[in-house]
Amino acid sequence: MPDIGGAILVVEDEAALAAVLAPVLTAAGYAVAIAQTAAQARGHLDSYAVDLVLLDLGLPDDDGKSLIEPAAAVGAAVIVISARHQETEKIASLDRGADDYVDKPFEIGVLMARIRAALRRRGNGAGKLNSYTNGPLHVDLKDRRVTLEGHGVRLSPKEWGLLTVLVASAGQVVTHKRLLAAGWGVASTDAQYLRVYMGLLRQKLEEDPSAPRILLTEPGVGYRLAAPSTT
Amino acid sequence: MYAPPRQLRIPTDQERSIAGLTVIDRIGVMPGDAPRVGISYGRASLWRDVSFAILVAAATAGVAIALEPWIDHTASALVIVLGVVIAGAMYGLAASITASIVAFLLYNFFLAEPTMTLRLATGQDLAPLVAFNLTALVTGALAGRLKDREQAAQLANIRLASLLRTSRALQSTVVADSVVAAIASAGAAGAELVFCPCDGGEDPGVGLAGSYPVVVSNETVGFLHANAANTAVVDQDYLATVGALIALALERADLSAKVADAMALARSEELKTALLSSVSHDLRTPLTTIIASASSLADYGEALPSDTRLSLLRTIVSEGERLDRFTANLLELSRLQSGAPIPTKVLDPADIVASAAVRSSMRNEQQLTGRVPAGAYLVRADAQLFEAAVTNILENAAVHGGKGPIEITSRADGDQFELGISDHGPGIPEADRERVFERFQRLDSMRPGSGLGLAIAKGFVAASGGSIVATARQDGLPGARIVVSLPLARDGLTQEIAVQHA
Repeated sequence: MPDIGGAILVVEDEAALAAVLAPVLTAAGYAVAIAQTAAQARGHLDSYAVDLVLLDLGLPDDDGKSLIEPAAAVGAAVIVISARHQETEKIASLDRGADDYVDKPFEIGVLMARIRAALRRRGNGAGKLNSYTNGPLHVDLKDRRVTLEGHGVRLSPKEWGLLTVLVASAGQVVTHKRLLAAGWGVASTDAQYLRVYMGLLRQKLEEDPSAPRILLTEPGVGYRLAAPSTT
Repeated sequence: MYAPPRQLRIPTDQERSIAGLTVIDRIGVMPGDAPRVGISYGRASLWRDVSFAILVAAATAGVAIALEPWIDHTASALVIVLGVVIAGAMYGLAASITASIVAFLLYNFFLAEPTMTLRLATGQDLAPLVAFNLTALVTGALAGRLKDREQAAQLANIRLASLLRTSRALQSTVVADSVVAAIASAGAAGAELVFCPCDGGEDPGVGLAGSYPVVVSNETVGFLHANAANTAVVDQDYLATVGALIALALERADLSAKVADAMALARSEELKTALLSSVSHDLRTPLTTIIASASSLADYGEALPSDTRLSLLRTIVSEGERLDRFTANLLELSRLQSGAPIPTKVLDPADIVASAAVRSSMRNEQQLTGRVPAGAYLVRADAQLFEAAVTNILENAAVHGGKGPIEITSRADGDQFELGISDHGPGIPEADRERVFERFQRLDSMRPGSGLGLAIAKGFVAASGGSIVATARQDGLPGARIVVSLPLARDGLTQEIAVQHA
């Protein structure tokens, strides 16, 4: 698996999990440091270059969310490790600047994909991906062109607006708020519109719109464009 | 500001007779207040009024007679009429008629020709008599009406004061039971009030005077009895009002009881939620590690050095064991929660401690020193609960007990078996030694844990008929010592088993 490499700070108070993540991330080509408390994590962020922070929210000394801003300030991507039911925590983390989250318990493959997506976006200068390919689907942001198996797909301006945001964060979750702001200009628009337009996009882009594989729903949080295929 | 109802004092009969009047306001009388004189007149007051009326009439007649040489005959008659009016206005109808008779006699004797006799010279001389008596009647009637008004106003005041007092007494009642006492203490104007709550609509206070049903939401909840000395104050309207106050108080008491219930329910729900979230966290934590380890081996197996692979596999095993301990705790907890009696058995604590040591996560980092000699003691307890308790204590010592070994001691103390588990951690401050056994109490929030381990241990030991305390280490070194006491088994059966074992 092609991993980009980079320095990852694992902020995790559960020693057993940290002990699993460290060797595996190292084997995947990342430089890994572990912090068991928020204080340790802050110290590390102050002293060392960090590309990505893997952040467990339940820390013994502080709310993990308080580390999001300091991490973002030094240019590190943040992936939050959260429990599945903690929707509000996830949304709050994303609103504060986290890039993505992964639900506990997670398979290592999912975590690695999230890490790659987050680092790719950082590496491309504040999230400017110009094209996206996944199987038969190709999106070119520069030429404003969407093709499916080589055939052009016509999108309405709103659909295009939504797809642009999703492509720019390919592989990462995009909150309802951001999508609404992109499509309607107002983040407080009813999320029902979003559901309708995502349905329309799925009709045009998915092989089977009832079982989406590219435009994925993150229940209660937002949508995720599947990570680009590497072919 | 709310002032507590003042103690009421009932005037003595002596005080009443001194006043010469019927003292009707019981509740209006406060210590230090002069007894309020009242409204219904006795014979004594009638005589007094009549005497005053005679005095007033005589005085004005005297003035009229004295002025007679200077003023006109008619004018002096008018002065006498004035006296009659004054007497009537002040002392009522009877007094005013008396005054008119006196005035007429004096007028007839001193002023009417021929003077110094009661004989009337002409029929015209009857005119003053008629005038005096008409004046007396009119003023007396007016005065009587005034007095009625005053009496009514005073009654209203007394009722109001009494109702206010009753409502204050009821305001401070929050439970239905105290309504009876509040009514009894508040009393009523000139009456003993008794409130008899009833369940099935039957009046338990049959035989008491005056009865008024108290109805809350279309259901008769009790009867209000009034033993009224003065029915002018305690009438049906008054009872209805007090009844309404009682109904309100009962409804309020009912509501506040419901609120208290709801709050208790909410608290227990809160506790359940906290327990559930703690349990799900405790279950998910090892699961996360297991799934991450296993998927790492599956995805990156070849890329990982062999010692990392081995350590991942070991992690899966140990986290699996941790899951097993959590589920064991949960199972034991649910067994306790079911409320079924816990059957105890005769056990050798040595076996229990040995298997708890295996089950707890003590492997390389911490070692266990000391042990319970096998066959030395027999206790009566539930095996699973006892083992789960010891496991939790060892687990707690492993997490919080520093790097040194965990030491186990055992001894018999009277009819109790004592198991001591000491660690080399920072110890537990004396003030917190009770608190460590409370649910969700974590003394060191820097360490992982749900704050349930020792609480569960305490519950398990208690269910087994024992006790658990936290102390300092015996040797004076820093560290905590948890002592579990269980009743030693010394009955015939135990000896039988001991013999069998021997």
